[in-house]
Amino acid sequence: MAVEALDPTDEALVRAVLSGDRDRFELLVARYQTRLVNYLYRMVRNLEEAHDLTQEVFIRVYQALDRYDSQYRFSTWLFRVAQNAAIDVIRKRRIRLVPLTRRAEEGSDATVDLELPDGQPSALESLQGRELDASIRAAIDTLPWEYRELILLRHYGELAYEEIAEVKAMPLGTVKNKLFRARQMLKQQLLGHQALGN
Amino acid sequence: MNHDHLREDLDLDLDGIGDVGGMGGIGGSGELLAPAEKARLEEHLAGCADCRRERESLQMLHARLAASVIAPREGFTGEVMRALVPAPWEARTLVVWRWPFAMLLALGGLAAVLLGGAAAELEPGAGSFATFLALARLVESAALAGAGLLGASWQGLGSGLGEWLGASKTNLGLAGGLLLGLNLLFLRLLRPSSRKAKSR
Repeated sequence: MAVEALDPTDEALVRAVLSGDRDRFELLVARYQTRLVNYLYRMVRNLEEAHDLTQEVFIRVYQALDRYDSQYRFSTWLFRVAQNAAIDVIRKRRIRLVPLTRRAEEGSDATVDLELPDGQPSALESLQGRELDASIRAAIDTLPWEYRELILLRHYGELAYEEIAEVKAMPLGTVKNKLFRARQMLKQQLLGHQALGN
Repeated sequence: MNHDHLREDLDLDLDGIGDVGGMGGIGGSGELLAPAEKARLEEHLAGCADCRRERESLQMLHARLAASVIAPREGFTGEVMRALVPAPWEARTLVVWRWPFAMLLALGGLAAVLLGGAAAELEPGAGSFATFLALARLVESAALAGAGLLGASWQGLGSGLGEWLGASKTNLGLAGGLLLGLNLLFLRLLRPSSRKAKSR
């Protein structure tokens, strides 16, 4: 795909917002919303929550915009905020874990399974055109965390290798190598499910 | 050049072609492989059926990944913009002060018209310079009266406090304790923020 230079640049938009042109922030939102929603959806595995989290990330970034250091790329700052927000949600979710069974009746020893959301998209989501390739998602979920994160940043966050290296504070060579390995694992996983090429 | 290394190049090459984020490659281009590396890869692919199959499966993987991208819900940009609350830094931008300043000017203008009208009614036939002088004197008197009131209240407070402190040693001790307590509180409030600043 041919690379299109972003005009105005993110940094120019940030400067415009900081000088009082609040509407320019809308351009930044429009530029990054799809990438953030997709990245966060794969992180938190719930589409509604991913939208809420994306909104929260934009709010946080707007509130702290005067602290943005323009020697770094805006995208890496944004995705670092998004990554931290997603990790917070995942951590809180682990703390909130509930037993998977409850007593059938008061005083009875029998238990029944609780119905918990399975992280799969609801029928409504599918109806609204938010259909997701379930085999791809299942394959990504099997990847070790460090590989999974890189795949999500590259293919859903659409970050360049250099940007991923900045976000993850990792040498560029390591990013390339890990992404190669991650895609190999993904390919094997999908071949195992006979999903690739169908 | 080993086979595995070429497969890494193959993966990188395909990722560069599908470089959706932009600036992912060398020198800000979409290409992730240098021209010489790409030429070497093409040469290898022409004679290696295994690597061609690998390329096909990787192409399909990239296509599947790209196809699983979803669009945010309709009107999401507007939702985000409406949810934005004013940021602390906004108070420092000139644009924010545009309306208050305009309001101040308008109110000032209105006050000048009203006072001018009143002065003209009190002294009919007076010239505009005389009206201006009358207005200036009015403002001067108001300012002097305000300053006098302020001075008197501070003086009153000072002498009252002096009397109270001099009345007994207990009062003096109490005042000293209060001052010390306030200093400690001030230091306590300062400590966490300086720690945070250091950790940054």
